[in-house]
Amino acid sequence: MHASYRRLIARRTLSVIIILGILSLGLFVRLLYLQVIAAPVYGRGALLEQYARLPLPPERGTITDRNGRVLALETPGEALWAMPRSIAHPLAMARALSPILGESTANLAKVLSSHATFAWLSYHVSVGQAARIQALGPYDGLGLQPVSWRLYPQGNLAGAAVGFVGVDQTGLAGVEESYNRQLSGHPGEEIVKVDALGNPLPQYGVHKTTAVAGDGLQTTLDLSIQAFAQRDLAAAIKLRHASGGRIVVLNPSTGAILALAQNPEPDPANWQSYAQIDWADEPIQFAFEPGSTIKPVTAAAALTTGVATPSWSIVDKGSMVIDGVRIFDWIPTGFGRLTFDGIMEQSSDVGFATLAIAIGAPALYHFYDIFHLDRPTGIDLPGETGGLVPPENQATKLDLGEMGFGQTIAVSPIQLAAAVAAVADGGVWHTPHIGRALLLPDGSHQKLRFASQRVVSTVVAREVQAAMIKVVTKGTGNLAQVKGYEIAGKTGTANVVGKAGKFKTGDFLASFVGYGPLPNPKVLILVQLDDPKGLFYGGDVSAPLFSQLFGQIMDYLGVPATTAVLPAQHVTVPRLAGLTYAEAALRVEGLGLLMRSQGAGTLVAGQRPAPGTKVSPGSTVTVQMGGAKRAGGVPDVLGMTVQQAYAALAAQGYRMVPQGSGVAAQERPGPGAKLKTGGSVTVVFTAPP
Amino acid sequence: MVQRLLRIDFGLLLVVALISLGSLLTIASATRSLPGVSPAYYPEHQLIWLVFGVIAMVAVASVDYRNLRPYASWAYAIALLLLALVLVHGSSALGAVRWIKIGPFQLQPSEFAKVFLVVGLADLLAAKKSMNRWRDLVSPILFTAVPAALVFKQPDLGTALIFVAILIVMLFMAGARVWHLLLLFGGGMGLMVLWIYVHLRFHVPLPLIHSYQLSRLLIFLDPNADPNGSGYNIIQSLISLGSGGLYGLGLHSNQAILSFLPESSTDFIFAVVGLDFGFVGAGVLLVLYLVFVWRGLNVVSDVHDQFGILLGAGVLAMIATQVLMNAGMAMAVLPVVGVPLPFFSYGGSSVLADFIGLGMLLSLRLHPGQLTFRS
Repeated sequence: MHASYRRLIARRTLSVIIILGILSLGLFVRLLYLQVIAAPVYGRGALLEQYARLPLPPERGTITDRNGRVLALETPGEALWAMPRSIAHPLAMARALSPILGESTANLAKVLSSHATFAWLSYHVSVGQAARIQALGPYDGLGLQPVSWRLYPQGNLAGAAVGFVGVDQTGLAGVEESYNRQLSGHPGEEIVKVDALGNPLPQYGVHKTTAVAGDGLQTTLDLSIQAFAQRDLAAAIKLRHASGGRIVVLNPSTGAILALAQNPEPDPANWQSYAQIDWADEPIQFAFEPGSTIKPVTAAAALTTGVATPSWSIVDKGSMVIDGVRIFDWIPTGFGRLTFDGIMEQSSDVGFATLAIAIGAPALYHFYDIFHLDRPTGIDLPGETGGLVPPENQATKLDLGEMGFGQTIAVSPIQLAAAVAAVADGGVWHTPHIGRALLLPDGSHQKLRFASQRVVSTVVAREVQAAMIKVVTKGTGNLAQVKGYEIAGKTGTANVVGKAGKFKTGDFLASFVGYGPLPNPKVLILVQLDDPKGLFYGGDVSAPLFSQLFGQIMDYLGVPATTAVLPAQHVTVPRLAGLTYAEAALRVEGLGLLMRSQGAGTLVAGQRPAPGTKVSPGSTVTVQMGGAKRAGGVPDVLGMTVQQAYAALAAQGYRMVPQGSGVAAQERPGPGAKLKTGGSVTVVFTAPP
Repeated sequence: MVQRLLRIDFGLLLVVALISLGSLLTIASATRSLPGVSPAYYPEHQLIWLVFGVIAMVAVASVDYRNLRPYASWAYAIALLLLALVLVHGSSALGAVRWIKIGPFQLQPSEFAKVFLVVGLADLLAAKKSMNRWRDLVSPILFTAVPAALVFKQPDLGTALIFVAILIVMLFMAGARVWHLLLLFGGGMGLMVLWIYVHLRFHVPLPLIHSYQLSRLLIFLDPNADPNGSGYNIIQSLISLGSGGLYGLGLHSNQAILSFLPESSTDFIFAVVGLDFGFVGAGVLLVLYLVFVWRGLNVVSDVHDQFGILLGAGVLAMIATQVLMNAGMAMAVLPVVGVPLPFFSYGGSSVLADFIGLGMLLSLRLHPGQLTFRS
């Protein structure tokens, strides 16, 4: 061997040693980092993976109505879990489970072949599915766990008010959401040390916290009243061709809600099939221009501030000018001299505008505040709106006048109902509420308490009520009368503020709010119908609905009649032939009768019962539509307000497309023009000169 | 005879004895709670393999290494045959086909192929008159490439890389020009890295391996990207090392952690050492391997013929590369390619192959032959 090769070997051996030394040093540094510097981090990682937490879900509380009828309850079901690391043949198992669970093999295989310690495969395993899974034979790493499902045995009865729970048993709407904390209880868990296959190692001890069941919730709802309200609302919407509506029924002496109806009412059992907007409690979450139904509050403010006394009076000429803008009454010819009761009875906008302006912004806003019209009532339902009131420092005299009769502000039905209930209860405002009591796991009841506050004196409340009684006995709300019971109420017809808070021109909200029987009112009912076709005044379409519902509730509650039952009145059926649908409906319903139509024509061709027949109020007159287009024309609406123009056009069977605000200045097509029934007339409104 | 036996490097033997003892303890700890077998099963079997290994070592050491030369080509041919047989007929474990059954035994030919490659390469390179030219590199490269391709096909990337490492070290010690080697292997590696970058960046197809295999190899860079999938082993290895801390948790101390660590008695046994004996234990083990290589180089430097030098260098390259790769992948500084820790990981084939290599090192001392100095 050459000496040169020996030297080469010696040199290269040294190089190898150096390279090896550098690499080893690198490994040592890395080892030092892992085992000494970063050791705590990995120690935690080790602990985390060595303990499996099996959640022990608590039983969610039952929801009932005030009589204990069940609205929502837990029922035992099964959930399927897997410990993927223990599963020997993930793909085979995925194939076997796929048809049973209706889940794709690929998705199941992905979960089953992961290294995860624990995974839920399905939360909802039916009895049949469970049997088929068990028939697959005992498998390591797969098991059924008893869980709870939420059942809603009443279908869509009070659906929006009850709400629903999501897959994780969290309430996402209604009282399920607002009382979620109390209903859900506290989950327990079982912590057990496991090996890598997920097998429990109980020799190291099992740490178990038992789940605490949620409280039961007894609501103030009455399912019978709720059923009446939902059914009557749906029928009225259909009859009036309304686009929607809602009903609030509450106990005016406590604020307890007996029924909350909207249409459509969602079914909690199929909560996924509804849009999110359908889950909003409309009477709580949406604000509407209240129109004349706000007048009791204006009246109470006027009496309290001394602006008006019961002997106060005004001459109503049908319109008045505020800040250069002329506002009209619903009857443009006016009412002549009206007393304090008279402006309520006739729903005089001029009268209430005058009062509101006299009260002045600071006082009026004070009353809005104490009546909770400018802020949420604090009801125990989610998503409550606080209404829309223009900022006090920006309110003009015109605004004040309009606010007096319920325009330029928007309030939710619950705000309005609670405000009127304060009048009904002698001046005490109660927080409206739907929760009555919590049923604690130990069996005891814990009554839920809500704040009350005197807002006006009993004397004032009684005087406002006296005016509201006249609304029903002889004023705009006379269709709200119920035989045997004395009722106080107020009608309202307002422009529609859409669900998104946008003003929907041309549509009207027909309302009636009333309570009875006097002197000890048991229920207060607020009825709203959106955009009814044909008749649209609250007194015409909503007051009859109030009357029907109130009568049923009195029967159901067994409240004895307090006034002498009047002998049955008879109404003579008018001759309707040749009229348009709208005209016929105006005639029929103005007499307190209901109208149903058949056929597709534009004019009434026949009717049943025949003209001149005596029938009892509330009977149905069926009209046969047919015949040719009637000669006529577009009526002259120039100078009219939006409401008046709408009524005039609707009476001829036309739809109004309004532009601007104020009084009608232009009309297209013009007055007298021939237009097919159902056609649209564009009316441009401008501020009067 | 006694005089000759006294020439044996007892330091080398002592180091291997200590490593083997550590191996038995660690395997016992790592396999204690494996289901289906008694806790004694694995350490007992490893002990049997160690006995066989010592017998093989003595047998090889007693033979003058020069007498191995005539059989070098045969050994090489048998290695190729066995590797080919694995591909046709093998049993699989963990997705790779690495084993053939011979009677009751399962043989892993790739382990023996490492030793046979060392012998074959030593023979080939010692016969070469010159190592200065490019073309002198052709035959040893082809000689290595054939078995490397066969194990790569199994797929056993780890063993293929060890073959390449053995080749590089032996070419280096055979006198190949440094810049040739740098250009060839450094350039090759650079090209590989560049191609991987281009693939990841521009989705240019990869030669030889699938995209998912590449991502499995590169997962060590960020094991948390797939903690329950391909990153799982690495995370568990790091957790084991980290949980061991400075002094370790002791033997059998934390079966819960161990049960999470896959391949705990073979590919990831270094993590078990770290868990049971801590930084101190793992560090001592690495030092023992360094001492082994240092004593081995000592032996090699006393050898007077080129075949002997290359044989010794090849064996040391085989051992050292495996240690670096095994420890490196346990510490997430190298891709997980599945390489046993010499004299330590559970498994008959690798123990036998390592002891055969050790026997060759001992033979270098036992059979010094004629001193031949030429100036």
